[in-house]
Order: sequence, then structure tokens, then C-alpha cells
Amino acid sequence: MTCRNYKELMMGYLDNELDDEQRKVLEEHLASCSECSKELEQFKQLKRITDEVTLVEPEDRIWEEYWGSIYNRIERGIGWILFSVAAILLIIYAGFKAIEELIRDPAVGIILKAGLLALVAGLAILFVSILRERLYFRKRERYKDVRR
Amino acid sequence: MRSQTNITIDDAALVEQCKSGDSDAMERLILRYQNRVYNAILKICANPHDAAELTQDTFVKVIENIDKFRGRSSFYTWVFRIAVNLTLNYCRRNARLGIRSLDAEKNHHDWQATTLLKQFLTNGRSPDPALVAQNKELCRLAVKALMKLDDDQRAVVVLRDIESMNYAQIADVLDIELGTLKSRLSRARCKLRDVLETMVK
Ligand SMILES: [Zn+2]
Repeated sequence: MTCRNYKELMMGYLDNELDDEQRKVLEEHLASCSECSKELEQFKQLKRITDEVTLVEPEDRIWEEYWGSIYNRIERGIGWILFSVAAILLIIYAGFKAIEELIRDPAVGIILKAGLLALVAGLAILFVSILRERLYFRKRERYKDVRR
Repeated sequence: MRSQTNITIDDAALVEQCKSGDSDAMERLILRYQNRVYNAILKICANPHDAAELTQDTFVKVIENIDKFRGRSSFYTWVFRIAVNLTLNYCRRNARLGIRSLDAEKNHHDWQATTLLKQFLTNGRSPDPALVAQNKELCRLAVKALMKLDDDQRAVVVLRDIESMNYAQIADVLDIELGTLKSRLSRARCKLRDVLETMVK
């Protein structure tokens, strides 16, 4: 085993995840390798630094109206689905009405008709999805400067 | 006589109560974990506002999916798996859009914090604990160093060193093999050490 391979054992040692045998293997190597024992010391120090990154109690206002907001969002999720389905169906219907005469005209080829219907359906879905996105992102936009 | 009052109901029992439609049980579960979930998310994404939102997203998902929770893993790791997945997706989206957190840009650090850090990194010299305790800047520096890691590496360090999970729990949260976790953690800490060393240079 090369020194590189001992690194994972070192991590396990620091995190208290070694069994007795692994611990023995590592300790034997550390006794004979000053490089690795130096490195272990460094990792111990590193762990003390990451320990400084402690729990930050979030401000209470974060949890204010939290509950209402969680349940609102679940309801809103269902609302959005109903809204989307209904809007897509209505737009498809309106689109179909607009090209109805063309569809009923026997002179127009079947491929063109199918194409037009697909176009109407596609536009309807696209429109609703863009509308959703606009509404959804509007509330986030005021933070965009902060984040950059 | 045994007292009934200080028996803490464990997660599994609360989960069962949730499934039978008890919303108080859900509230207790959320109260039990929301601060820790928020903290882990915040340390991974480094944006307090978005961390709050991601925490909320997490619990919306928990409420929506509690019926599907089979208890194959613990509720604790399940909640964190949802939270970490949402947060890592958020990080990936931000990376794609080229959004970086404000903190990562600033390059000059508090002199005192840098000195403390130097003492930390130099073998054999432990800085005065009182000084460390009052120095919030050191914590900020450490967070900033964390931000230089890859998202996946940062998640591992946060779950291990900040949330204090054991290896089995982290592997469960991230849905990776124990071996993968070990090598990722070792790479993450090596990189973290290098980053901190360049910070004090
Ligand atoms: Zn060695």
C-alpha cells in the first residue's frame, strides 16, 4: 500500500469510522512514516476549522407564515395543474375553431390538416408553459441583483 | 414510576401518525428538522434567501410524498436526501446560468481572521479559543473555502462536519457507495486544505 492509499484510512480515523484492524494498520504506518503523520495533523487542524462552521440559527422571520405558505404552495400546485390543463384545452379549442373550415375542406390534404392541428396544440402548450414561467419568476426577479 | 412526559416520540412513530392524516405529527417532524435542514442547505448553496426557499421546497416535497415513504431508510436521511438533491440541482442550475454568490467574489479578508487561520494551519500552535469564538470572520472564511469545492464534494463535507452524520447515513443521503463516499471525502478535504493554504499566503 502506498501513502496515497492511507488517506482514506486517515479520514476514517478522523471521523471515528475505523474498526480495530483498520486502526491498527493505519497506526503502524503512521509510526513509520513521518509524511503521513504530518498530514494527519494537518487534517486534524482542518477539521477544527470546519468545526467552526457551526449551526447558524436562522432568523425567526424565515419561519413566519411558514406553515401557511407550505400548504398554500401545495394547493397552488394543484391549482396550477388544473389551470394548465384547462387553458391548454381552451386554446386548442379556439385554435381548432379558427381553422375549422380549412379542416372540413376536402380539397386540403390530410398531412396539412394534421400539421395544422399539431401546430395549434403545440402553440397552446408552449403559450401556457411560458405564461406559467413568467408568473412564477416575476416574484423572484427582485432578488436578481443581489445574487449576482 | 415511569413518567410519560419526557418520552420523545421517535420519527417512525410520527411518520405513521402523519400517514393516518395527523397534521400535528407532521408539524412536529418539520419543527424537529427545519433548522438543521436549513443550515445544511445554506452551507451548500451559500445564499440565505434561497436556502429558506429550498428548505420550504424540501418540506413541501416531504408532505407530498410522505405516503410513499416506505421506511427503507430513516426519515432523517430521507429528508436530507430530498434537501440535498434540491440544493445540488439548484447549484447546477446557477452554474449553468453563470450566477455566483456575492461572497465568492470578494478577495480581501479580515486580517485577524487570516492570522487565526494561519495559526490553525501551522502545526503545533493552537490559537486562543476565546479569540476564535468571537471571530465570526473565521467561520466566514471557512464557508468561503467550502464554496471553492465542487458541489458534490461540498455536500459531503457539510453532511459530515456540519451535520455530523456518519458515513452510512451520508452514503444513504447521497445514494452512493461507501467506497465512493470515502474517496470523495478524502479528495474534498485535500482540496479544502489547499484552498485554505492559498488563502493565508
Ligand atoms: Zn505514509
